[in-house]
Amino acid sequence: MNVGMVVFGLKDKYMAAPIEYVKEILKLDKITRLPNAPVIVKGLMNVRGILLPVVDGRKLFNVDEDEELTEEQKKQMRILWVSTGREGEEDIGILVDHILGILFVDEEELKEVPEGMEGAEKFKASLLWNDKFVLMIDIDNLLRGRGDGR
Amino acid sequence: MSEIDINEYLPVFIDEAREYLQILNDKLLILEEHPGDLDAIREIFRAAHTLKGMSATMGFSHMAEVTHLMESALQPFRDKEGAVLPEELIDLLFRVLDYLQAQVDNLANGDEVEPPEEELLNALKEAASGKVPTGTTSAPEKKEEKKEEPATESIKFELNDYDLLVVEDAVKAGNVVAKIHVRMREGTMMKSVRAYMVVKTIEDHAGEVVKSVPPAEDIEQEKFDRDIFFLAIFPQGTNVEEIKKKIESIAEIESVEVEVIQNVDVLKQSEAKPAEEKKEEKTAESVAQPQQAAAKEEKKDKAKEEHKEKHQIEQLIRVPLSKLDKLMNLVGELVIYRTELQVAKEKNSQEALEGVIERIGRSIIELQNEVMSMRMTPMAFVFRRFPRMVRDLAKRFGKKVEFIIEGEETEIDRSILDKLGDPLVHLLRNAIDHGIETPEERIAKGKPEEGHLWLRAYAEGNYVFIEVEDDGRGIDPEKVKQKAIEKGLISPEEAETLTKREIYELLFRPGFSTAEKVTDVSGRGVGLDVVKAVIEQLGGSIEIQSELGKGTKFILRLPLTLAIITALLVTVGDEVYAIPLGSVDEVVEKDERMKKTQVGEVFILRGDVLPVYYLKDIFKVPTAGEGQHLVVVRSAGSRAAIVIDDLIGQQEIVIKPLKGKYVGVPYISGATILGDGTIALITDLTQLLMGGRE
Repeated sequence: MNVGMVVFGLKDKYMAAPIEYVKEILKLDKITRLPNAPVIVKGLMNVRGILLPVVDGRKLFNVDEDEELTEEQKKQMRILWVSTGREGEEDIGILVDHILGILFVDEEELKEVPEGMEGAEKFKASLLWNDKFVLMIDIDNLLRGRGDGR
Repeated sequence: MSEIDINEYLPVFIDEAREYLQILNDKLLILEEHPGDLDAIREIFRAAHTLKGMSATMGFSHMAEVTHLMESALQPFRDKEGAVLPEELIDLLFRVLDYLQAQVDNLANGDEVEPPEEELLNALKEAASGKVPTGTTSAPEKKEEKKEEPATESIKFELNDYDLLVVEDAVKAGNVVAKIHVRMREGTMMKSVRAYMVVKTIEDHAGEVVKSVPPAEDIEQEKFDRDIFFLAIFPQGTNVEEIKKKIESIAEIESVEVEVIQNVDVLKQSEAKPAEEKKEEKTAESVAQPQQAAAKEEKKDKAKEEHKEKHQIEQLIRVPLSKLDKLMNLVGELVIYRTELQVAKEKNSQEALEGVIERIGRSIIELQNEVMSMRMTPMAFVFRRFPRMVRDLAKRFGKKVEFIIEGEETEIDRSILDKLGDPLVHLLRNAIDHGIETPEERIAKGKPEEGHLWLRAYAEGNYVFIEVEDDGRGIDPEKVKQKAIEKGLISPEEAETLTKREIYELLFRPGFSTAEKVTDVSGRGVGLDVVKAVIEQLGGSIEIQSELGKGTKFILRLPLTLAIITALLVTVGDEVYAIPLGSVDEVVEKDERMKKTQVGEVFILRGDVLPVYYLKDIFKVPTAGEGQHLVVVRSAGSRAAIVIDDLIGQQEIVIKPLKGKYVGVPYISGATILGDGTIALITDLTQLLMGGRE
């Protein structure tokens, strides 16, 4: 069976989001800062009247985020609107450096996430694609729970 | 067979049944105080009667039976001036009410009606039969008959318990009860008209049709072959032969059989016979029979499935027709304005355009107000059920409680109201169980023997406050600390530094319970933590005020509505924040009235000392200036001045709640999108005031 995913880049790392969780790919628009929010949260973006919380992909997946981005790089940035579609679970946008494309692979090509890797719980599979190591993110885990309501 | 989909009517039934149960409840409480209140007895009688009818129509025979018995039990008291209802009967009626309530709840949850407990039914039967204690002996009989029922299910003329009761009553009262079997000629045209004429004839003889097979709707739609059975009650001394002749004289009627029923048991036994005869007589009918039964069965299963799927019956809300008319008019206006807009555009007339826009604006505001007002429901909707509960709990705990409800007319959004029931139940229970002392204890303390429990609601700005207050023993901060240390919630060192408010906050921690012994009421595992969670989920907050030995007050603050508010838009640096206008007192300049003190900055406003908060500090705004204005805000009685950079103005905003693990942040209740697409965060400064400096 074929598995579809949106492959994106975060600095020199490659990751993928299962396509059934991706609602839309958006260009970076104005993001309103959300005070006292967790550090990974960039803020809120107005997407046609919907307030989408935007999470910084680099911080979320612990990719070094110190480096200053060039204007050219900023233009490449995209927001991956992901959703589990389940009642009570919020949608979020993940800010990524750039999108490589949509990839369909055979299920057998998916491998386990390397053991002992830092933040392994955020991923559910890995694969090799054009000699690149791609980690498939676990969106269920990312969006699970309502938080503490504060 | 009936084609009406019961599910379609179920929400209406539930809604109305609740209303009548409420009447029963209210009047029973009155009766408890004044057992001779004839008006109350009559009201109860009427409510029971209506409920009986409704339940029977819906086919909830258990409920119909119980309400019928209730009616019978009240009958002797209804007509007698100066009659006093015995206490046992009132208690019994309360139990009946509980049963009915439980069944309506069952239906609302998508479950089936359950039969009443044997014991309750027997007690009720006894009461219904007045002083003659026949109820106890008739009960076992009934049971046997019930067992027979499955065998006789395929029988044409099937009477349920409720029908039997009606017949039994009529026979007892000396009325003539007759079973009339009408057969029409083959190929009769307009069968429903013939059937109607039969019914008319019965009614002309002062008869009342109790039941017909097939049911009336099917007869109207001519969903029957040739046979109709009627069960009718006539006044004493009616000549049935005469009626039979009259019916026979109706055109197209082939035969009429009339059987007078002297004894209900005869009716029950005779049920089986005619059906069996029919089976042999007419093959067409015997074919139709199992089909009918099968279809019925199928329908039942289908209904069950549907129930399972739905689980929750949709909530209904009553809207006066006049309001709907008004909405319709407003929408009509908007349609016209659209045309005007088109015209204005074609004419390219700025003036015309502005005129239309203004009119549209007005209509929209009106539309908004109308829709909002429909969602508003008085607190009484939830409050009304509490007097009964308080009464029961007080009795159970051996406490004397005077329950005082204030402001039940205060309105709040229906969706909020619906969720308030459980938290309030919990708080009231707590007050009775832990708060109010036993009469002996109160006397020993020099307090009046009877404890007081207040349930208060009032609106303030965009918020509704609900208070649950008792004049009981109050909360002992030391005990709370002790308990929290025991439970490992805080360390003894931490305990030393806690303020009174922080100590009370401990009560809301999961797993905290101050009850020294677990009672079945307060030890149900639903703690104050759940209460707090529900209230916060609704965008509200909860606070405790208490004085040892004097009493405790829980204050719930809830938003009036969840959707639209008027807010003051302010800027801090390049960020825009919205402060709900309901909590804004005034806006003042930042000048020499600002003073520095040991506890931080304060603002002296006409002699009042207000604590000062900087919005830029609360929200850590990187680009903020020094601040030019102060917004004086108020909540739950306390005030503060908030420093901001600039004012944009006031605006109606649509609240989009911010909840969840990424966007749930302190002091922000939601966000809104402004006209230019900018996002403004809605501040929850009352949260700040309540949790502020001590």
